[in-house]
Amino acid sequence: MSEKPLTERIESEGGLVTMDAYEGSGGYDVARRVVTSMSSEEVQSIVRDSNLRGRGGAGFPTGVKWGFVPMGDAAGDGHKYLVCNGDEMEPGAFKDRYLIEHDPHLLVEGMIIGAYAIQADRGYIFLRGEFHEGARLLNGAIADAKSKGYLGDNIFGSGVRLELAVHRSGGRYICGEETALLNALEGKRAQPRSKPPFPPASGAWGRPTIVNNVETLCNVPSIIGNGAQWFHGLGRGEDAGTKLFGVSGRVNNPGLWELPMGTTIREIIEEHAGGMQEGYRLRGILPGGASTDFLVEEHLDLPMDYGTIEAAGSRMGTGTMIIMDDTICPVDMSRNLQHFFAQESCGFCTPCRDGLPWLEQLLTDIEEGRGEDGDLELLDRNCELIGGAGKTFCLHAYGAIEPMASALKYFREDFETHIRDGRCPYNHRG
Amino acid sequence: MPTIYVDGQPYEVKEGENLLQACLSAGLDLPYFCWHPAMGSVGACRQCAVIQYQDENDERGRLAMACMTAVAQGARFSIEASQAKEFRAEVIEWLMLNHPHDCPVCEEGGECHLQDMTVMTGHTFRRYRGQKRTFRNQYLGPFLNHEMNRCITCYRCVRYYRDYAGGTDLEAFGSRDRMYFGRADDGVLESEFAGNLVEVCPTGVFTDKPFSVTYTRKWDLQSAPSVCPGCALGCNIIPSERYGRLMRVHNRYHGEVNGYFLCDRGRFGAGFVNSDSRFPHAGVRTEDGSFEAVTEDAALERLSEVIRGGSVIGIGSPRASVEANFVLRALVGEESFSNGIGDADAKLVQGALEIMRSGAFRNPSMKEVEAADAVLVLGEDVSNTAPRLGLALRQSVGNRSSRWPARPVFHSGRTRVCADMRNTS
Repeated sequence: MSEKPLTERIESEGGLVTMDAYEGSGGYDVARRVVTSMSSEEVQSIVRDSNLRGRGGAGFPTGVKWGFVPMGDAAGDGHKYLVCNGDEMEPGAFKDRYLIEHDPHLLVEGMIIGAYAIQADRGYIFLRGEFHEGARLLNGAIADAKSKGYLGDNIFGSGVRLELAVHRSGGRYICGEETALLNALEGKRAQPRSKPPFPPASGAWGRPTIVNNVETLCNVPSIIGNGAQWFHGLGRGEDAGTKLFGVSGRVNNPGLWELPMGTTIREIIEEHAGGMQEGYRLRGILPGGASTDFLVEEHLDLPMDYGTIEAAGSRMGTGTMIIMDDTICPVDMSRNLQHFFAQESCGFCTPCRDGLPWLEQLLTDIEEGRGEDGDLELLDRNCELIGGAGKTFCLHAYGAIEPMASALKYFREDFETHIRDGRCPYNHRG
Repeated sequence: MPTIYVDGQPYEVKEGENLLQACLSAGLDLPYFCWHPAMGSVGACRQCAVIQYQDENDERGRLAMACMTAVAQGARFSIEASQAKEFRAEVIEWLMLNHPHDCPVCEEGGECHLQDMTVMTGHTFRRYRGQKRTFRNQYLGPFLNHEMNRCITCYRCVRYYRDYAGGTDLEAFGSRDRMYFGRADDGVLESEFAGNLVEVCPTGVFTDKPFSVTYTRKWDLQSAPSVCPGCALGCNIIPSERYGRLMRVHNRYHGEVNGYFLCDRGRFGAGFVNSDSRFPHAGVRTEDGSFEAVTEDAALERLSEVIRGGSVIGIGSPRASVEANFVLRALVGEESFSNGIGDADAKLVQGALEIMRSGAFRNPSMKEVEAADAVLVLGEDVSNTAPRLGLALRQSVGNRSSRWPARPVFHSGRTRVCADMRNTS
């Protein structure tokens, strides 16, 4: 049994895994078996036992989430929906895109199994708008699967129905938030919804809906095929399975690798990403994309497990880390990040809508030599009042504050120097 | 009635209220923007933050938005806790980052909810040193000004205009701190209830255009409670006067009748009282045919002379007020007075009155119309004869059971049907 269930086909085929290649290596066998001979409860139970945690960033146990969906008559009349979150707009993340553009059938099979598990007859893949190639490949994969009878009115001849469609996003970061995604899917403004109710109770068009990340769903076929125990065995530490880990920044070999959960940050950076480029020293790591707290050198030996990274004060997020080296100005990087988060605020609640642009403006002042005494205290205070649970309507600002507050903690001297000297000491052309 | 504890004090509150409503009803000062009694809670402005405690042993508590928090027996909150106060003061600071300091020239002056809340939270010192965001405003018709720079993004306007009043041509555009509330293009707002935006907006984005050209502020006005003369519904209003002229009409809350809203005809249609072609004084026609102003006493005396001559009758009008008809009848005497309704019509009116008095027919209040499961409107163009009722009917559509179609069908012409019965299944 494979140790790289997500990428083994990609690595052996190279390029795109076609329908023939996918089926030739056992693809769709699991979906066929599930739909023709297993109950929804059995599928849910295996996924729950596998302890698969959501790969979109929050790490919520997938089987538990599925368990919230009302089943049978309890669901009432109408459709149920399985929505795949393929919006992937986290700066630094490119893992879902990799799966979609190389092995689209893996996602389609994962969605067939996931939809069967929650008795959904409608599936949507909500895709980042810029993924032109991904949309083309997924639409092709869906058409192939439909022509073979794996999707449609009578999948695998079982009488079970599943329609699958790709929805291309208009392009807002907030669409990665599952309730904003559902609003966008319904053709409304992409603003998050008030919770509760959560989507499993009332989601797309008010019907029970599960929103899962691309990588999460791609894990499902092999979990059902090989069992929960096998999946546990893949992880090295407390979390089960493998994970697509990525590294960007001034390393020798930036990229993406499927590695066991619990692989240490040092191993990912030094062995897989080839270590720092000559002349550059690692200063900070955003372990899970832009909306996670900075970690620093002392954290290099931590295993990439949800709990461990959280205990260190950050989040595993998407598992695609961004490296800040010693030529990058932490103030400028913070300004750049806050520019992104401020721009992507949906504009609904005050702290996020008006607070984040103010942070950006303060950071711009500091970076460009106009910082004043008291600015750091103002930044601290805003981080405290914008970040943290319950202050904003959704978690967008919460994520935006994580790299900001941790930069103020770990790189405070840089901020102080900027204000004291009235200039940025870094050479930005570096 | 559940009892809740706010800063240690017990308050009896209404079941089903949210905490913000409960606090306001108890007379406590808790600032808010996006909540509106007719449009409910959405949790957008984050202004009504309080600290909510698990139980009497919880000393830390957590920040919660009062408008999004249900009251429950024994629930404990704090408005005064420093964590909540500081958060609320910061929310105002965020809202004021882009709000222009044009209060001295703003039409909302003296009745600005934003100004009141700013003072209430104690935000007095400006720390923001960036540029303020600016917008291009739109022409929205003869009744409403549009000044988007003042917007604090509470979403009340679109929630009222679209969700409550069913309009489609006012929208929320853009994102981050550049949210824009307006039409896709300049143009007259289509809703016949658009005037309520003047009162729905907590600051000076939507203001009363005919009023603003008079350079009048609230403190210049003499106001009195009154009832709208526009139709037979009797919406409660506050007409306001300055220099002997009617300056504006505002809504006066009445729970059974108009609630928080008026129709545009009621709000903007009272200007006729200022017409130059009205007689401002009593007067008599002189020998040469010209009009000569006289005192009221002199006019009355002259009138009684004429009436005593015995050849004068008084014809009132169903369009005039009860008071005016009464005075005319008193002047000419009952036997020489007609109420201006023809015999055939009078018979019908009398018949309707008898049926209503007999109890066979219930005359529902507008509040009851809003709560009705279904309303059948026969042979009436409601938006012309009783416009505010149209807004009430729209609320009733939200109560439809599953048998009723989702949208009301309004046929052009005299008859408008609230729900399309053809789709009943």
